[in-house]
Amino acid sequence: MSIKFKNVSYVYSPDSPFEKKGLDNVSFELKENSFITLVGHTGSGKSTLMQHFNALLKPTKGEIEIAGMTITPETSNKNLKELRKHVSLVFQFPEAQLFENTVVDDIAFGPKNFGYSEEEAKDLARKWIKKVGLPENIAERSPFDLSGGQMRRVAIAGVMAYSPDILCLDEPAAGLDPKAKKQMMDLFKEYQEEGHTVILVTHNMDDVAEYADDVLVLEKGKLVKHDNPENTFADSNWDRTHSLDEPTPSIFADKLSGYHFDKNPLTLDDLVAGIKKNLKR
Amino acid sequence: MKLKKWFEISLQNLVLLGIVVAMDVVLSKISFGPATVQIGLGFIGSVMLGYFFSPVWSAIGGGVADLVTSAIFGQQGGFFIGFTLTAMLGPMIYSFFFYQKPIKIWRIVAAVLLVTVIVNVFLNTLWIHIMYGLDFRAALIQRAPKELIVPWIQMVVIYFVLEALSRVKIKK
Repeated sequence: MSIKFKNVSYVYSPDSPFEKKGLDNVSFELKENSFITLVGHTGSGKSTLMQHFNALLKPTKGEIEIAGMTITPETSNKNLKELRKHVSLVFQFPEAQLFENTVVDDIAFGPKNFGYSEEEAKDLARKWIKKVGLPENIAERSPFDLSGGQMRRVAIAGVMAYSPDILCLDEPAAGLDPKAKKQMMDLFKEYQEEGHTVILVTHNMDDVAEYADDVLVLEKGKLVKHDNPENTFADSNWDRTHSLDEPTPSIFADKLSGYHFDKNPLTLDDLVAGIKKNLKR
Repeated sequence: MKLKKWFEISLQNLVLLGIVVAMDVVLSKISFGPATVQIGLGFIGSVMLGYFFSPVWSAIGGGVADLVTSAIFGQQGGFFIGFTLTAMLGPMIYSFFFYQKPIKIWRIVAAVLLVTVIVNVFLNTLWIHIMYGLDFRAALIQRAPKELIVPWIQMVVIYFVLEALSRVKIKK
């Protein structure tokens, strides 16, 4: 199974003075069980596209095939619950959605909503408290007593607890300290390797280079590139004209004169290996 | 002594008042339920004003919310100062029952019944009577069925809203 977008367009408030194009004739196919990143300038339609993955927004035109369902402009709001059980979104700053009395109740809310029993949901919640790297004794505390980073983890645990097949994350590591950020990103990578699809919206090209199998580049609501990271960053001229940054290692490699790299180094490891090779010559 | 305290407000609480007024304005635009008995959510805004602020500031908040709503969205049937008065009275009554008091079922029941009878049944009917010259009894009978059903639903909702608000208030 794969995720297919066929000529999807989305228009905000159609037929009104506020009409605005969000997506413009976007078509692509994503393989499941891969790590996909969604990049592009602010306002390029990343969030609009993301909200299409679980039909928070329905296409104005076109068709989406995802998790065994087909979404068209005529899809009704009924029956979408099943879709949302399989496709989850983690919004930007998800800690804002915490509301329950205790951390464990808050994480268990999602699973309960999707039909798990009280017991199962709480067991899952406890398991995920550990998985996202929180101390176990946090379970019975109020989520509002926690630090910002801890709240973020609780919120993300709440979305991952019912193991959605497809997990869409909008800048999940924004505002976290470097260690916490690495931990969260590794968690998502591990989740993907367990056999799920992870779609990551990000501005951080180093993360794209490090984790992604597949990159979607959006510009002004149009999909301008869909390729693996190597090809996406292969042409720095193209990147610049489409206001796309390059990963730090490849910028560094560009500045090294007299060095020759077999391939454009995207990650720090590639860069180090490449420099070593040059020195040996 | 207590009355004087009702007039005091810190800058932080004044900002919170602004936020709650904004929430009241937004909530009053939302309604749900089957077409026959639509329940607006404005009462949740009134309850929040009453819970967080003294009767004096609740009333001010309710009045400002009504004026802001009129300014942004316009008022059905035109602006009438009487409805601003009732918009002030509702939060004020809630405040007498909820402000700095433990949440009790009887408080909720009493507050909702008082607001329903005084504000919705008597005063709002009176304003309609004054505005349109509609016979008072006729206007009353027209509104009666809704006012018999809605308060009970409101009580349940208010209970859960207050429980949730009390959780948020404890944390700092």
